[in-house]
Amino acid sequence: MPCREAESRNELFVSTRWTMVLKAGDSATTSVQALSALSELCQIYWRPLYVFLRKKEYRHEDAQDLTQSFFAHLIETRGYARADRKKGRFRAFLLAALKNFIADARDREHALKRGGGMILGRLDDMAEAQITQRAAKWQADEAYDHEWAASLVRQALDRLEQECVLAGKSELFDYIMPYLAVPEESAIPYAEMARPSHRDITILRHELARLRRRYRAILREEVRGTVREAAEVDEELRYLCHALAAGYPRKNT
Amino acid sequence: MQPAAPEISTCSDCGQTLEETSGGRLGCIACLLRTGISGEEDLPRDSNPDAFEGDGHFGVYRIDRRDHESLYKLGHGGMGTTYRATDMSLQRKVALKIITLGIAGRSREVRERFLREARAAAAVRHENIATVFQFGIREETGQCFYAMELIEGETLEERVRRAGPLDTCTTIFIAQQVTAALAAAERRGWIHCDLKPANLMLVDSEESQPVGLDRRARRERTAQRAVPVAKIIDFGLAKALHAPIDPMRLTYDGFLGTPAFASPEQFENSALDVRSDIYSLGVTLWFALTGKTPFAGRSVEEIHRAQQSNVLPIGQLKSAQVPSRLRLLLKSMLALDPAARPGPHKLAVELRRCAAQATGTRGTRVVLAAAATLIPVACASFVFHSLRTHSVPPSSGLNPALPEKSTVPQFENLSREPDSAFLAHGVHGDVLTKLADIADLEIISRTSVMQYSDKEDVPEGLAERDPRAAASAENVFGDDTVHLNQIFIDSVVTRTATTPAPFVEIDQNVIPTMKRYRASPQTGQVRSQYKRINRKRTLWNKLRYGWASKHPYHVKKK
Repeated sequence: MPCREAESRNELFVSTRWTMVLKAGDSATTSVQALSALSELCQIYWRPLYVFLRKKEYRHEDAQDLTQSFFAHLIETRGYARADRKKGRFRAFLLAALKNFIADARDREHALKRGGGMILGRLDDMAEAQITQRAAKWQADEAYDHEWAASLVRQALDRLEQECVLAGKSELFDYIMPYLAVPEESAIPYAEMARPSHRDITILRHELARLRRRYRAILREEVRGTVREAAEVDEELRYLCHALAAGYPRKNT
Repeated sequence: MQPAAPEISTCSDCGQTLEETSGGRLGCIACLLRTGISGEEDLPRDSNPDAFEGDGHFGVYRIDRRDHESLYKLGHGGMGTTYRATDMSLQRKVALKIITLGIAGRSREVRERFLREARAAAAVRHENIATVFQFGIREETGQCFYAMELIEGETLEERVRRAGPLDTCTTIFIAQQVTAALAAAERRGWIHCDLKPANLMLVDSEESQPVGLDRRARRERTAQRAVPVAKIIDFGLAKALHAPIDPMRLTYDGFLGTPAFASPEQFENSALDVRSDIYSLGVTLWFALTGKTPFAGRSVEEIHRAQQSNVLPIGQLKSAQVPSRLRLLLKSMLALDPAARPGPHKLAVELRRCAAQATGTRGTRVVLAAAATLIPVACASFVFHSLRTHSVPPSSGLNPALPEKSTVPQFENLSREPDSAFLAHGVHGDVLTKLADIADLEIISRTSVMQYSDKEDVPEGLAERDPRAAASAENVFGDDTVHLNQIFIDSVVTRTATTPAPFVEIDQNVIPTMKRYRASPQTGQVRSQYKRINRKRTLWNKLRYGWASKHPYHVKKK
């Protein structure tokens, strides 16, 4: 398995976004790269926090403001320095920090502060309705994990799409993307795709396989950016898969 | 009214609800996650990005990746995505935009036309327009791309979203820069067609200091301009992307621009000129001041309908405490009829008047709070009218020469203090004297200038005296542009607009000659006298001393 070996070898030198932030917590000063890494993580994973707050009965605007304030607080107070080195996963750390933050905010009537140098996305009415509808059956923590998983997948697909655009294959991505996760080859309508995409079935099959492999690599990179060790990637993915399934597990990091 | 609940679709494989993923497409999160778990399939060799994208080069440019391998994306818009990239031959960082030409882009003719148009637009050089280095086509895929200077800042849209609406002075300063850029482009027959907050980069003024300034000048310049420098990006790109095959046609194919910031003529697919950009600038300034656009809507049709209703929500501006003059100006910029909007020159004039009002208000407040007894309330702002001189061909080199002839226009006292009028003459004479010392610059005489003093359509400059005893001036001359950005009490700095260098700094140690005059209400004639003031005192100290001792430079009224 040469590529698995290559992946392991690279891990010796890999500094992921989360490990950079953890390292920054150890030193007296925070590097620009670490802040940038933390900022990127927050940009990707603000939605799970927002959903959690909505499940905690915060109004739409309040949840948005509180999410922004939380990130500002995290950076200003170097809250990431308190992350658990041994079993620290970014997902678990962020939720625990948010819980502390809102408890403090309630106790001290913490003034909400906008921004924190970060611009977070905003949900339109339709996305808001979808979130409310979907999260209706879950507790706040479950909704958080679900949205976390969705954010991971969205980020990986966004990256894949960008790469397709750069490779001049944006149209191909449109055709193939719905079948990225379809395991059964027989369920993929290659013949139907062939005419509009102006490609042979054989080429389509080959392109789908390549796209799927690249997607998988990107998804693992994204998960890797939120855990401490490479060996934790599969564990994290499995945990999130279980979290999405009906039998929601109660064990966690 | 609550939005309708979305329709629920489920995954045919696992039965989970499908959710919105990349680009709004539906997908099963559970299945997409499961795909990433190892054991089902090993990661093959061709799963690395280079194998996937080819060599990742667009001409001499290679797109940068972040530490964790994702592409270094700077922004995304309707026309394409911008990445940070490296020019491999010159080893410099650039912003690389990959253009989305869609299905039409498959046509060679469309691509070539795009390149032709885009290259012509890139010829527009101005300090407030991002410099374009290269347009090109990636042969392997037929994608169009262009490289422009990498501006380390944020867009106006990002600034407003991050820090809230801007204050009036900052907004006016940004507007002045954009107007100067639009005027320069118009002279070469180019318009932007998609001016909006996302296409305006803001750079902290300290970062954008031109080369060639010593520390002192740098410090003074920063103090004077503690507001960002604006740079327009994607100039001419919208037009190039929609350019008609027949160049004689006045209309363009399809809708041009971004609906919320588009002019009425863009909606109607009519001929466009610089007044369309003026309209978009009006909406952009409105957004900067309020954080909102004047015409809201969920679709192009809704926005167009709101625009046609011609009812501007002026209350938004009043709530944001926008001064009356600027409100009126924005209203004129947003006129439905292009003919009713100000042109770039008129707009520059109006903006200077707005700046005078805004800074005057601010100065008064400061003075009142600080020392009401000693310091006069007058905040002397002067507007000087400049003249068009003969046209100077645009400079193509990096160090263009100064124009052969220049003028020092009349200053006008805009303060409410008639006694401050002597400063108008004083600054005028001072600038005149100092510019005359430049060997390569011929100054048109004061007498020749006088005949233009009542002309409304000439460009104006602004000289403002503030509590730091500094004055600034800006002047636009015909086809070439000369800025007198800072006329400090003991120095004058001139520069050309097309490049930060060279700077000509004039005798910093010379204290200016002040003038005083006595006006005769009967004849309206003005007599001037000269008086040299103490070299070791600043103007402000002298003024304070003068007023405090009730002898304000011995100005007497008949």
